[in-house]
Amino acid sequence: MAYNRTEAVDMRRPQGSAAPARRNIPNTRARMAPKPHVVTKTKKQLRAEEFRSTKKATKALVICSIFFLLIGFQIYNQVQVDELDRQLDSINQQIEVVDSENTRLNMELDSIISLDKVDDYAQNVLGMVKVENYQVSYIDLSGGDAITKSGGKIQRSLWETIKMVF
Amino acid sequence: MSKQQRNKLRNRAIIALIIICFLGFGAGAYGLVNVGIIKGEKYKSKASKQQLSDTTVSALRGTIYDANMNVIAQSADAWKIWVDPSKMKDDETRQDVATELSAVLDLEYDTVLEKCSREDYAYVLIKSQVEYEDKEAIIKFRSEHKGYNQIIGTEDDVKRYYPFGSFASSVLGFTGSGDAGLSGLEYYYNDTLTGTAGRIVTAKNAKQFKMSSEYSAFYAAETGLNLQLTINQVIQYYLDTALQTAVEENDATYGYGIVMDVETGAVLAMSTKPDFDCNEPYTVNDIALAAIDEKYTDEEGNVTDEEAKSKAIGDARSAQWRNRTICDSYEPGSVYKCVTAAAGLEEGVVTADEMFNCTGSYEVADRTYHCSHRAGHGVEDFTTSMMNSCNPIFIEVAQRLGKETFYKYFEAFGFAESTGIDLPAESTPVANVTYHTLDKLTSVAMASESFGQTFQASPIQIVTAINAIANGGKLMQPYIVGSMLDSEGNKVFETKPTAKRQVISEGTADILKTMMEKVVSGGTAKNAYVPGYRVAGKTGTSQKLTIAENIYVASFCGFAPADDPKISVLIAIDEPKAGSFTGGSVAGPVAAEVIENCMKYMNVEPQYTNDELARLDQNVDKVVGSTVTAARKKLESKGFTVKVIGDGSEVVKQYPNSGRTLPKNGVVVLYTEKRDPITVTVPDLTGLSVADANSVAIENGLNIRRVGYTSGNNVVSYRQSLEANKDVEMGTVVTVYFRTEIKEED
Repeated sequence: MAYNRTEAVDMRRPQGSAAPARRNIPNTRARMAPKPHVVTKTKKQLRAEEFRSTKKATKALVICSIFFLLIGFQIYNQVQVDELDRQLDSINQQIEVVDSENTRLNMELDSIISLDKVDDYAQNVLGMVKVENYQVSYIDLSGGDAITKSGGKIQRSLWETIKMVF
Repeated sequence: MSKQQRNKLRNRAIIALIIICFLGFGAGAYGLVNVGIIKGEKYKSKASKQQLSDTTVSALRGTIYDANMNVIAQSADAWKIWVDPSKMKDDETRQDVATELSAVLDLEYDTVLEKCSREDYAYVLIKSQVEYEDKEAIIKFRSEHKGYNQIIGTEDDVKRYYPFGSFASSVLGFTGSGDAGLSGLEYYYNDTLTGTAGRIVTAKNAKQFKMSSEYSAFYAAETGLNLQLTINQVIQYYLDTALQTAVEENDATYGYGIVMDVETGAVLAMSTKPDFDCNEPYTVNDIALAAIDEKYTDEEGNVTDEEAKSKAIGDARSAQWRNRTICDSYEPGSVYKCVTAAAGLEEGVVTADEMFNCTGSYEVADRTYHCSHRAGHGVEDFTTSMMNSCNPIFIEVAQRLGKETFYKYFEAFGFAESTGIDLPAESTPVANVTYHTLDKLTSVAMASESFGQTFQASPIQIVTAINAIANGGKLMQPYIVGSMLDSEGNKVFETKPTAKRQVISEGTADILKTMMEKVVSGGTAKNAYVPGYRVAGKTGTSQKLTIAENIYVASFCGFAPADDPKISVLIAIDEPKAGSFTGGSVAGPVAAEVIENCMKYMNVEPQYTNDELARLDQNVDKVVGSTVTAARKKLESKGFTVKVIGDGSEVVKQYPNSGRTLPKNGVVVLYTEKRDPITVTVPDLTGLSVADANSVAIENGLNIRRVGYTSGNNVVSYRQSLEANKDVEMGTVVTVYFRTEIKEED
């Protein structure tokens, strides 16, 4: 079969041994068709060409793989970012809810320890009484802070005076 | 084909090409113009809707703090619950939904069922301001039933919390839908408290999910400013408590009160009773509701007139929201004598010790004015005439001043203008309606005005005027918001105290302070006396002649301490119906209670006279562990009465315990064996003199703590801390409140 042969065929030139299908072409047309140009290559050349084409194909494959990998990575990243965004939204909403709950509970706590309730509990449950004025001592701080040295002249013994000198 | 035919064919081809181009490009151009310009906005909006997610970030309303930064109003997120009745297919669904919603949201089942039955509606609000737990319960219920996601919905909402309920409610007001202020400070400062809503605009992907933050724009919401009030939570509590008790005891229609900082004009407390709970402003208070029920219910318990009752409830609701300390006005009565005296002293037409003779009446033109003491007070000096609240003397002073000068002081003290306090709906004086202008001020009208009649003033006007006497003559502009803070707590605005004008000299103010102090120590305002503190003030009793002759407003306005005033106080009890109606009897004790508490709270040191020191209560010493003889000796040396229970020789328990205080000759119970305490029944200690109350208490094994004016004649007890017939431990201290009966209009 022609594709098992090792001769290369130059399609730019008409050839005497045309393909079998061409045999059915009317003579007039056959006469007009150019003869194929056949180039003969060595096995070494063919192997080199095969190596080159394999190399090209590998290169293309690697480039494509990298390309698809990058795209895949990008998509993966996007998915991750979307997922994190969703989580962030959800956490923000939870924070808002917790903040609101915090406010509500604080308000509830404040209402429980309002002055009237504390007053009522202190007097009627604990039996406490309000402080009387005379039980309070007032300290006058209008004069500001002052340091008062206590004692007068220090009396030292003779031995202490000698020690002070040295 | 000839050349001519070829040209013709070529021309046709060119024309056809032009037509094709024109039609083709024209359609394209039209499409562009149509999409880009004619329907540009519509497509832009559609594209935005499809590609962008636009979320509004609501701004939280600012918080309101008291003067000590205690939160008194704060907002938090909440939810609205709504239903879509058009999607409820059968009665069973409606009943199921109504049962659950009414149970969780604490609503009437029939009301919810009625809402669920409005089949023509796709949105019916069931309840707003629902809290998190209830919302979650409803969401859980919704998720457990197939198809209910389309029927029950939730929406974001905001709820305003007022932790102390009715605390200063007439001042704070309340908010409505969308957290908008509807009354009081919430209304007046609505723009300040309301922040600016923010937005988050985010690109959406094909699946309508929001894209990452790099595709979003965030416009932050600006939280509203926080308000720090001048209202002090503790002083407000004292005022609220005292007024509430006074309204109940005197069977009064209303009670108003204001406590003001003398130097700045800052309002420390402002109260109107009865009031409402800011968390439930539409619920009518119990007193008003009971009155309405009584009026519109027959003996069998049926409502006599449903429509009239409904209208009455609506009116009561509006009435309870009213801040009567600034919105209402009344004839100030004798309190205004302070202004007449100030004008007289400042102008030099009278001196504090000038002698007058009160004959019981005074004639002006064709009118005869009577003194409240018909027989007349006789010869008295000007200070004593003020202590006696003697009308003829003040008419005389006004006549000496003349109309122009009298009116000048009327205006100067702020009675012809509103005070300008930062609260809504302050009443504005109306010329020749609520007061007489100079050209319409006749001698007769001036005579009436000299003792506070024939013109009206609001409580805030009156306390501002008296405050001017207390601070040495400066008429201050009252205010209630001390500062505004941003969300970080930084002060962005601070109110500076404003002195409107100097109305009298400091010297005149000092003379008046002394005169007003004497009114409290020995005049008609004796019930405002507080042991240890020098209180100055003036009482007023004004008839509400437009309603009936025997309807009064009893008031007291004063300040303390008289020698170095810190606070000005106004107390007015509107329409007291329980017997006493004079300012001295009704408003004086309330003022004393408020002033005493405020002075203690403000750490103003009391200065007792020798008499006061002699009457002070004493500490009970510890005698547990001592022998009965030693304990008795120790306690009796302090003037206490000792009762020994048991036959033992050593005291194992004492009551009251050591450290408690008792009046001299109080009862101390000593137990010499371990046993249950002996109980006694509290007797009725009201309507008694100090001595009688004390002896009745001791007879029953109880002690009394005396509060109020106790040193003069006609002193009777009018209240006790423990109700009569209650069983208590022997030796318990019962607080008994005393006052002197002031029967003449003061």
